[in-house]
Amino acid sequence: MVDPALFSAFFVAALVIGGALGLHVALIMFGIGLITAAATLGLPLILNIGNLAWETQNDFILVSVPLFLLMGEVLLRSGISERMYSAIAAWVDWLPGRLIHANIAASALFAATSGSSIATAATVGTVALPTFRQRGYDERLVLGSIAAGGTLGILIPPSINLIVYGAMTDTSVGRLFAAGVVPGLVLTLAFMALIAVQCLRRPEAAGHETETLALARRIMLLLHLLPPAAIFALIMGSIYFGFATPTEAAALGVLFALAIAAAFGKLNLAMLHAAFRATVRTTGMVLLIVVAAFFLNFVLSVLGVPQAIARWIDGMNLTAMQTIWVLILLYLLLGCMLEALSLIVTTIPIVFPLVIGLGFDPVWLGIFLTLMAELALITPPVGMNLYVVQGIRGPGRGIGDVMVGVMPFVLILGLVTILVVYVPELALWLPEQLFK
Amino acid sequence: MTSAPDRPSRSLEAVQAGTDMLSVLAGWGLVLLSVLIGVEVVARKFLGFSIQGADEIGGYTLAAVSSIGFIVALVNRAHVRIDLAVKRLPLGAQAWLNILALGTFGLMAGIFAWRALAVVQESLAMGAHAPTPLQTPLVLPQALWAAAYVTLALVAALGTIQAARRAVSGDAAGAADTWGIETAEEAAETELQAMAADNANVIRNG
Repeated sequence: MVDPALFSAFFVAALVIGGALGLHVALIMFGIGLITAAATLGLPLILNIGNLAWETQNDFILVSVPLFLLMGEVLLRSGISERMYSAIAAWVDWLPGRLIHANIAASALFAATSGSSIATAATVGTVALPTFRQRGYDERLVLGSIAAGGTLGILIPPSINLIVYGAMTDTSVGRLFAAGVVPGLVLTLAFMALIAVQCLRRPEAAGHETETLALARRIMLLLHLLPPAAIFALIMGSIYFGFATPTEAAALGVLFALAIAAAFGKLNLAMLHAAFRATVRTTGMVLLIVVAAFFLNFVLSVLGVPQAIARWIDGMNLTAMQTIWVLILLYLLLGCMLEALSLIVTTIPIVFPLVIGLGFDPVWLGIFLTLMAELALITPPVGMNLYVVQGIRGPGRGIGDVMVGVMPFVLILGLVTILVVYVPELALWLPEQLFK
Repeated sequence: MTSAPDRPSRSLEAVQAGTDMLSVLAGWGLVLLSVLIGVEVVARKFLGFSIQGADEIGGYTLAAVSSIGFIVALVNRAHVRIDLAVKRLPLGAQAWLNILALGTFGLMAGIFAWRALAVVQESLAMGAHAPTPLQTPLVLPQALWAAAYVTLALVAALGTIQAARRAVSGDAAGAADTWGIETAEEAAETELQAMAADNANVIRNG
């Protein structure tokens, strides 16, 4: 029997000390599993590592990870993002905040073709930032909107984080994808509302007026929204109508992305090979953490650790909602240290059994954890999206502007997270409608 | 980045070039898999038959791509590490912590390699075949997979040794930099440089 308090202390200490020493996060998780195994049942648990790794690396659901990554990398280099941004920019001119809304809307649309938040922020930022120069926009608001908009990448399907969550917890990836749609839209609208309110209060933040394009031209530009919309429809449609699993949908997405790149004249060997390198590198990064997490998960569940911790927390007489609030605080703290995927994966072995035991829905928990990971992406000091946006901006001015600019968006993201906690139907309604 | 006093290590450069080739190969594997799955979906939906085995081959592809990816991510500093505390330490300490990280990473890879070889051995002894229409002898994909783990362990050991040599010869910066920790700024830079390079490629190649 593992003492839950002792184990929790060991877990946190290992994470903090291993993290401070700069060890690989996958190694820290593997080490926690190995030491726990050695201290209890010993060799039999450790001998299983080979079979566990093979099963994980052979998991058909996880095959969708490199495929969705490849789809995103090809689309990134296909030129659709520039076209998409110009089309959206032409239509948001009349809103208070003008072009800033395009950052959020383009992020939401790009998120529907990409499973990564960092890629979303990098793409939209690279396309958008130059257009803001010399137009007198409030720079902090612009920078914040790009960093915050990028987080939509892992919430709006497809999402690498949701696939990994689904594989680790045996939750339907199709349902998880569907569950991300409504919260993703709510968050998009909330971000845009924030921009509108800020620019109504300070009209000078939205820069000078520019010439509006003729209506015919603007309607023509809408054509540029077709490729991303079609990709999204292909992925979600093929899953929803049941003729493809999420992995098969990802493969269709790769083929479609290649076709789009070819149609735009961007398909060539150099571009493909660059996309391959990025895909394989990220796949290795993601899968190593996942393999280590599966091992840790296996050790802990054999020893009954999650159940012991659940009983221990039960003894504290917290209500279900109080437990969720404790988790929110815990994730905010951990989010200052871990990046988004590690944050979810390291905590699933303990948090999943605990929260499901309290009667919450596994699909809802996936969305809740994704929202917490999004917060980690834009909260200092390690919020990755902040650094991406600062990187696009180039040297000269400090990252402080980005951190200040994103703060109102952090607040909105926090409020939407709380909304999803108290109104779980926001996440659960669509999957229930689609997968009856 | 401080340049090493001696010439950059040839062995590390060779590993870099080798992994680069492997990742291009793995990428083509993913494209072929996509085509195979695409044919399977169309055949099943519209032609009423299944070519069988696309999911099985998908699993083997993931095993290969992810195992290669482990090595690629290691030499490209993409495996997640926390830079908060380390980057505030003096360079000498950073160097030794990097050696510790690479060394323990190699140890983990070694344990994986040991157990992966055991899986191969077991499949070999039992003559295990996949319980599928393809009846793939499991030894084939598993041997490749185990070989990747062995390579990962060797590559990590090589990195550890090179970093240690640099540290001992007084090149702390070089030691800390050998597949060292990537700060958030550097990670963002990698991401953006990749995109910028591609755009340049696209422009150059029309």
